[in-house]
Amino acid sequence: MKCYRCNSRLASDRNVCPKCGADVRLYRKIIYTSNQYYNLGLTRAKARDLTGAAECLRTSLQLNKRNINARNLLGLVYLEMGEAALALKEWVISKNFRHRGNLADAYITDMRENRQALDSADHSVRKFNQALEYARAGSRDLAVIQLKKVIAVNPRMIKAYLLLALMYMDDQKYDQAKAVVNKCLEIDRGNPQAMSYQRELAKYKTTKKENIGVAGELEREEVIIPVRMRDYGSYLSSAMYILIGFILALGVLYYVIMPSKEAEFSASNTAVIQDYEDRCLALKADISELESQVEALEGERDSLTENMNESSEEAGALKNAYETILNAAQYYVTGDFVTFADVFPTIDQAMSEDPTYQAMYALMKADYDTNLTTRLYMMAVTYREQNQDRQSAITICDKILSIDPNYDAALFYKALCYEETGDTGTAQTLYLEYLTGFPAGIWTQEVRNRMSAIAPAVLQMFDSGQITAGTVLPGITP
Amino acid sequence: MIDFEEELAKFKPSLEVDETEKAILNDKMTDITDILQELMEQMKK
Repeated sequence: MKCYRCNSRLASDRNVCPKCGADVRLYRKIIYTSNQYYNLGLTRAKARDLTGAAECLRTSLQLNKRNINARNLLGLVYLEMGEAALALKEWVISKNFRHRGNLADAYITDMRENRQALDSADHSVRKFNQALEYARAGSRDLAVIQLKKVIAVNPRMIKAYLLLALMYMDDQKYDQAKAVVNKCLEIDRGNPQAMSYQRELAKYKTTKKENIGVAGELEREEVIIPVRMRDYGSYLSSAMYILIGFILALGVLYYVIMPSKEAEFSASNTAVIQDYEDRCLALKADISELESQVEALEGERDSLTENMNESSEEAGALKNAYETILNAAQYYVTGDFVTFADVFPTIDQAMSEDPTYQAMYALMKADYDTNLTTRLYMMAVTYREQNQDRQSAITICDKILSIDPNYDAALFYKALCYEETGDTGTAQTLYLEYLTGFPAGIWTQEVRNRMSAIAPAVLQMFDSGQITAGTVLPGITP
Repeated sequence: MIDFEEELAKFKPSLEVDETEKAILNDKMTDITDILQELMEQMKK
């Protein structure tokens, strides 16, 4: 026994809990009384007084709800009385109180494994409840039919027997009621309700049927069983009749029923085929529409590809323009004005409207227009005077003259470089060109001095108008 | 003499298997020990 407060084990010779100090005298009496009721219930169950046993066990549980033995036995009693759900309920509660070493576990497992039996019992309970409803509604016949079914399925359901007996008694079918009550008392000997009905039925006479098969005094709804001797030949004739009937049925089936069924079947098939044909047509229409959509999308794709290519070309051109301007800027910054002079004219100002692009172009153009020739001239001078590279100086002077044909200094310098390299013929041609183009130039006098030194006769002829700058002089290689 | 209606009223519907769970949950399962404990607590108050 355990303490009701702290659940610690109690000593049998002490009235106080050793752990929490609770007074357990009254509690111990309650437990003992519960056990006594359990013993009483067990005795009655053994004597097949199921109702009495159930009452004692319920009392035992009212005293001590944790009395596992009482609860398990109560479940068994309920099961024996045809109340499977009540039995299951008690066993589940019992298992909840004690998980291990509990017989309820085995009972529940057995119920779970015999699912058919449980379903059958549940079915019978539903039918009983239905019959009770019929009885309360006044449909006695339906109630009786249902109760007979219940008893057929669940022959231990006490309540079904009692209700059926009541139905019979109300209908004055006392013999049948007696039979039902007796059957009930065989299962549950001490059932007070059944005993009460039995006492009531004892007041009414029962008619005994002494000879089975002889019609006695007719009573209401009694069936007379005629006595007859069975003839074995009748079995053969019965079989023949059955066979003939079977053949006739087959004939009717084949000639009458089958054609109509076939027609019906083919009609339904036709409907199905038509339906499928309609669906097929609809699908074909969908396919055509999708094909045209695909075509349209392909066209759109091609035009978009074309646009993309054009955009790519534009992007390429733009990229080139930026590269060109950046290259030009680089040459300008590094002082390679010769290359700058070649690159800058290739820049397309209209290629981009980007302000930075335009600003850079404007900056370089301003220098190109105003300072470039001067810078190039300085480069030519440097090449000639410092590097003694007259050929490079000539190239630069050509560049200057291509930019600004009126740059007289470059013309003079070019002629000077040719003279210094020994190419006097070209030098003379260039000097004469200078004198023709720039008669009052800064270097005119210098040119005349040089011509006087290298070709005085030519100078005289030029001055007299006999020759011009473009005249090819004999013996002089230009 | 048995009164049919009176006897009929004594019959109550049986518990079905589907209703077992509900029945278990609704069962307060109070025994005398619980009642006595409650009385003792009320007396203490």
